[in-house]
Amino acid sequence: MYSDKEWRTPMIRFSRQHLATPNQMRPVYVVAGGSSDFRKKYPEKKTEELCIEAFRMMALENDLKVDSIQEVKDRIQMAIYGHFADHFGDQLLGESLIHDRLGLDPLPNYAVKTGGATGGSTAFAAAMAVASGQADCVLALGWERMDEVNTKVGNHYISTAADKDFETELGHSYTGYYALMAQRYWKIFGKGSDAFRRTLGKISVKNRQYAYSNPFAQTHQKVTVDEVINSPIVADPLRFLDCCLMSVGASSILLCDEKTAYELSDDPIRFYIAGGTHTLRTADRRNMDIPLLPNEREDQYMHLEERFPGADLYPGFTGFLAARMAAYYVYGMAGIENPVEDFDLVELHDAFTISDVQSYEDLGLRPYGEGADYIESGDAYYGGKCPSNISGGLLGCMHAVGATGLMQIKECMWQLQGKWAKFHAKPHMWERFGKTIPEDIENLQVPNAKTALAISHAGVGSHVTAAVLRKEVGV
Amino acid sequence: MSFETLNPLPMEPTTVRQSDPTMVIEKPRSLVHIHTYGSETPFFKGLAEGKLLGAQCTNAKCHNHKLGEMLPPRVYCPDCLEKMTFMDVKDRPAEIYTHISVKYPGAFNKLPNPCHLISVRLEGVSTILMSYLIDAEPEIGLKVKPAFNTQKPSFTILDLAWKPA
Repeated sequence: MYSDKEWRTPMIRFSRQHLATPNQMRPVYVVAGGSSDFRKKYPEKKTEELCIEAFRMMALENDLKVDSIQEVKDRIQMAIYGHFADHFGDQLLGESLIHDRLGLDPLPNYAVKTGGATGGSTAFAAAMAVASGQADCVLALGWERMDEVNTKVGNHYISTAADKDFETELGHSYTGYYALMAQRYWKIFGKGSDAFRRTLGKISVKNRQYAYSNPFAQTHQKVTVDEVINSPIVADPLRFLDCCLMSVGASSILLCDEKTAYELSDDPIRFYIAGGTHTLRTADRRNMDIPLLPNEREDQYMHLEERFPGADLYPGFTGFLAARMAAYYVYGMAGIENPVEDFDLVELHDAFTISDVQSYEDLGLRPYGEGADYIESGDAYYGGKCPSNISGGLLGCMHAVGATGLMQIKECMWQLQGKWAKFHAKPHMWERFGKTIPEDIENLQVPNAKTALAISHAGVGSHVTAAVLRKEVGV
Repeated sequence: MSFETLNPLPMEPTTVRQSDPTMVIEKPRSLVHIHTYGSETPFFKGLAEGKLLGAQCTNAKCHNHKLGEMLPPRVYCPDCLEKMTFMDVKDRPAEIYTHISVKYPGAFNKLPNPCHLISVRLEGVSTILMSYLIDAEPEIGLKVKPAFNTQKPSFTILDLAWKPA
């Protein structure tokens, strides 16, 4: 029925220009980051208070070679803001309000909105401003206020990021749209097995375990695989503990050119970032050949359908072309040859356990069809070859959408600077958020971490940014 | 002078959820969006008439030409940006590509709870439509056919459902 030649015709065609490696006209560095803590509800503080807290931490607690907030503000020439949903915060032009509260007028600013990838896209826009020479020092700051409506209305608001005429009416549940992919992936690549369902559960367990040691995190609740797979169904097969948090909070990072970076910091981190996109509706994904990453071979996927009956379409409902393209571009920029070998840690957009597995394949951490092995091999765990989401990710730490990608970049930066303990394992970092440091907190500093990847992801794969952070040695 | 004279409209009392340590109030509202289907109107009218309109690129110079209808339909071909042609695909063989049951829908959901969302692959159609299943338990590969709400159409995508073929 579906085996005629037309189905095999690549429907997205790449020109030479499309596949060219993006170029930063001058190097970009990230030197500092900050966050509020993240909560399901935050009636204690207005959004602007949370943003200022993130900014203050960024400016004052990152060992910058300055003595005051003003010295940092004096360096900033431009600001890029990210917040996903005006209707959640009930505030249009929030970027103007925040910019004023930060005292950054009359410097230029603009806001970026790319759904769940808003944080990453905010960093992307800020990096382009530095790389182009538009500005030497750019603030990237994002937030989300998701507690002004109840969870059901919140789920409806998020579902309006689907096509309102053809999808949103169908359940008003974004989880449902991911669950359609989960079902297909589970049946095709997971062979419908209980083992694969448990692998999904392990992702939730892992990331929530890491959030336990993160003072910024919304939850500090360790769970078991059985608790995940027996938690209430949201949209079968995805259950409550397969789904990310809905959060309030803010994060920021400071991007600079090389001269400014070294004037401000003794340990600036080189920053590369690129993006990819694909259709808003999963329905519209047309079949195409798999674009290959540097660690994949031309013939690698020739027999994919024989190994996994039903794997006859790419990206079908099992891959994210946007993630694959973002990785393709940024790996070229940063010279990444083999992701699982070259990265010391990764922060992935684990909005759902299933999308995390899909991303392992899109990013080349594992070949298509074999994503579960990244978890089962132990590579994804702290102490493994390439640990993922040590922050706790979206499942355990937060998903304050406009802040999320920035939070993950900031966590990667602190890891490469060797500052995980400074920001996570000190009692005062917990006490400032009204928490007590756990007696059994884990040391999650990755030893000698030099290179990291941070992914920011929107929709059912509509926008993805991929950022590579690299500690420069001997500069 | 009073607030009543400043504002002739009766002011609804504000519901205060908490006063301390920070004040939290309710801001209720009810509103209506006025939405156009534009040139996709034939699709939604078609559902009410028992038609399932896909769109095909008929530009012979386009590589999307006759590669299969797109469903949901589009007004313009995404490749050549020429106008597409609507074609009824309701009689095409169709099967479930993937499915789920939504147990925790968002606000304003009108489907029964739980409801079976499905993605449907139609022969010759190059995209995979999201919809919902009635009168059966879903499974991948189940052959299905469209069912239309022609009696009291809502003029939304909910006027289309699928049932076993």
